[in-house]
Amino acid sequence: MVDEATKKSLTCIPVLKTKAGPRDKDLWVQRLKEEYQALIQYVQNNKGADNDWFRLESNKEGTRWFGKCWYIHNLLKYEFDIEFDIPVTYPATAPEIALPELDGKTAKMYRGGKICLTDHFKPLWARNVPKFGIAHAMALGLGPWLAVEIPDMIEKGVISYKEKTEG
Amino acid sequence: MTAVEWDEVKRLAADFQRAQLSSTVQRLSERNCVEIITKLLDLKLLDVVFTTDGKEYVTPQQLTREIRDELYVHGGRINLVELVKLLSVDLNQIAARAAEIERADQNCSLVLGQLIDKTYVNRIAEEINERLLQQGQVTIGDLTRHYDLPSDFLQMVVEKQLGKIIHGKQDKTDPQVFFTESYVARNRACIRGALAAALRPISVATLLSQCGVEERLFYSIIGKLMETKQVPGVITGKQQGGSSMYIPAIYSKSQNDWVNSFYKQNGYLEYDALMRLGIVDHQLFVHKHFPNEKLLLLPSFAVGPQIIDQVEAAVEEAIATGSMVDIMPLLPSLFEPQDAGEILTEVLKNTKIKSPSQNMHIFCSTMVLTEQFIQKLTKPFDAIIQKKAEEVVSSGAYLLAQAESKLQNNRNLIEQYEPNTKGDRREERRKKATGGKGGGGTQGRETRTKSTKKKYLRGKATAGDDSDEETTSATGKTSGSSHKLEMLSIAEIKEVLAEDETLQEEDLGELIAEIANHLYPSLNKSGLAAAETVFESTMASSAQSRRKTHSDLQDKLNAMFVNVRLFEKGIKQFADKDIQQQLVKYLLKTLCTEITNDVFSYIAQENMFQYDQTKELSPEIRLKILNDSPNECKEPLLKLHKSLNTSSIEEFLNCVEAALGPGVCDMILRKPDKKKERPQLLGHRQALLEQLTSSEDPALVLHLTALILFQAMTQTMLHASGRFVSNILTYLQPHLTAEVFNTLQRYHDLVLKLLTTGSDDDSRSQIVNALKEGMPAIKEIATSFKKHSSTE
Repeated sequence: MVDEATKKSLTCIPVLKTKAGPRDKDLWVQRLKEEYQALIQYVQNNKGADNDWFRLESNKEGTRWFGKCWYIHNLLKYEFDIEFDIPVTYPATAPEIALPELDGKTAKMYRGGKICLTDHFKPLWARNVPKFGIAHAMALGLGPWLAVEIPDMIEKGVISYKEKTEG
Repeated sequence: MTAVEWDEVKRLAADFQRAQLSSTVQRLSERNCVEIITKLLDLKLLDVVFTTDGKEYVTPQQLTREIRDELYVHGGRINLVELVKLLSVDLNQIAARAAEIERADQNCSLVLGQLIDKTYVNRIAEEINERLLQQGQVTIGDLTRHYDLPSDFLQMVVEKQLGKIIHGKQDKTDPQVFFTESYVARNRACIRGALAAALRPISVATLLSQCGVEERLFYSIIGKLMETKQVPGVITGKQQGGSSMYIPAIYSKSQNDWVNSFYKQNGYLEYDALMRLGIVDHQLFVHKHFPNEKLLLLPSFAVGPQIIDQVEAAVEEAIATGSMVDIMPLLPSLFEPQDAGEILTEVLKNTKIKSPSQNMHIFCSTMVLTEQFIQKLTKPFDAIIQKKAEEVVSSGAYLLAQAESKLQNNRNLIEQYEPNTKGDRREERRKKATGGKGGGGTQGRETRTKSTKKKYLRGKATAGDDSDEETTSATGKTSGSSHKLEMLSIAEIKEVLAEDETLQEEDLGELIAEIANHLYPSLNKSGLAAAETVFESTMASSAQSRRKTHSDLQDKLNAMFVNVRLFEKGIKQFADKDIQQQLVKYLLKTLCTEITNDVFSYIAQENMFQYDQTKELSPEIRLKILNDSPNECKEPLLKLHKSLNTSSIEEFLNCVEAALGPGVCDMILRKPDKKKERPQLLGHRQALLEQLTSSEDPALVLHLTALILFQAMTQTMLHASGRFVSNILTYLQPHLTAEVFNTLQRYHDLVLKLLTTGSDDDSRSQIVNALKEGMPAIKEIATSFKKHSSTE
């Protein structure tokens, strides 16, 4: 199961109602709106808890998402790019979030930098279709992954701190 | 529609971006904050104050500001403890801040753990002013209670604001009291009214309670009122505690008027009356009130000179006329006899100065008797006394008393030292008592009663050891004083006095009694004196005779003594011891016994013993006298008495000498004188011859003749009874002629015969005739033998 903090942040994210994928014209719009609302809420929650850890934006149709995420370890901020597409079967299928920079640097990753999510994620998601959205995927999938993998990788020296002005 | 939807999506996307781009809140955990601040504090980069719950920090400036705010909110006064609660900052911090505020700010002050603002001070000043206006006066004490502030702070506040905000006045006597002018005026009016209305003395306490005026204020007001003469009266007594009195002038005036009028009318003042008027210290009052009058202060009256003058005049008159006066009628009826007595003593003091020669006596404390008057009163007693004295002397009571007192003294001498002195003391006291009476006055009476009382007690106390004294005194007339002869009893004196015409009035019984008491000792003394003179005069003769009897007795004793000696010599002429013995016995029984009796009776007389003088002294009576006689006499007398029973003339003579010697009879025994012996012998013979010539009794004639012959023969005297005639004759036989002897022998036989023959008439008459016939011859022998012997 997911840890307490994650669960708590998860509950704070509004659940979605519309079950629609990018192919469902009008309903997708509806769905997209809900996605955005959930994201805004989640970001606001994060900011409010001084726990802001990513930036996201989407294309016009809302089918492709990209942005950045960061992790602070030993007072150093490690920043990585995020990109993922909304699958056609969405929302039945969870989006596959990818950190292309870290491709090949860790075992918990698929080809193309897609993060390897925990065994719990997929059934959890499947149980919560259509309530879960992008925000949930970020909170449940990427957040815990970063918290586990980044310190490990930094220890292994796989990644090193790069001076960044942004943040 | 979809377009709208998309727009909406776009807008949401923009919102999302905005949300992402908005800066995140910098958030520090509590723990971090605490650490940071401690770090800062350590580095002295930050100065903050912790709150009591530990959750907040306050900077000192903030704290100061908050304190000020709270002060303002609370109306200018706040307790530091309250601040602690409100600001939840430690009291120490607040106190420090508050002190700082007080230091920095002129308007704030820290009083009793409370921060007080100037506005507050002004406000309470206004309140005080209001209060003052309402109540007329306030005290700091009240304010302290009301505001719960220390009195010196309030005092300072009030004094500062006095005249500015607080319109009032400070009490001069008590700086803690403030009042308004109107209040004072009101009180003054009240008091003035009350005092003006008062007609009798009123205690300040009741006045205060009635007027509802403060005591302090009252005194200051009354002082002013007195100064301005607005109050008719005076305050007496202490100014504190309400014990003082207000005495209205009208009251004291009427009091004085009454006193004056009473005094003018009556000439005296009664303290009780003054007391009723409310004058407590009457003596002082009288002194103050009549400073010019000479008032005599008695226990319950003050007496003016008028009365004293009256009394004095009366007394002087009495002196002038030599009579008596009772001052009681001259005095107001209220006066007690003892007051009168004091007045009298005072008056007498004056009159003594005027006429010191007059001797006054006070009786019943109100009566004045002049000496002359008393003399007059005693006059009738002279005759009575004289009579009594004679009576007493003649009845022997005086002698008895005298003897008793003498006996008493002797007893006392014999007894222990203590009773002796007791006797002396008694004497002294008696003297004193009588002496005191001479001076007269009540004093003399005093000593008298006291002395009798003591004597009485003494008599009781010593009753044990001199009980026979009591019994002897019981035989006397007096029962009160055992040694003193009472010439006149008090009752008798009273009787005589009551007959006096000047004392005929009623109610004079007491006076008579007192006079009697007064006169009693002197009268008795004079009575005793009179008795003494009477006694002396009777005794003068008796004393003379006594002296004579003394010398007579002396002569007689001397003669007898010599005779005894001579007789002894005569006895010694007899050779026969038996006859000698008998003769000695006879001599002792007759002449010697006579001498002894004379000695004893003399002793008895000298010592005033009681015995029957008419009878011969028997040995028993002698013994009794012996017992009663004084010690130094006892032994010689006892010896004398005993020597009579021995058969030795020599011993007897020695005893007589001792008994007559100095200390016992004080008689002089002449030395045996040869020259004197002769006339003695002649005298004896002459006496015998005379007896012989005059006697007709044949036995006596023969007896005498025998004695004469014996004397002529032996030139010694013989004392013998008729029984010894035959013995004498046998002794004479060798010296006589046979004829003479035969005549004598015959006569002797005849005498014997006469004595032995009973009542046989014939023979008796015969013998008598024969004796008668022979008598001249016998007589002749006696007388002629003398001649014969004288011729020889």
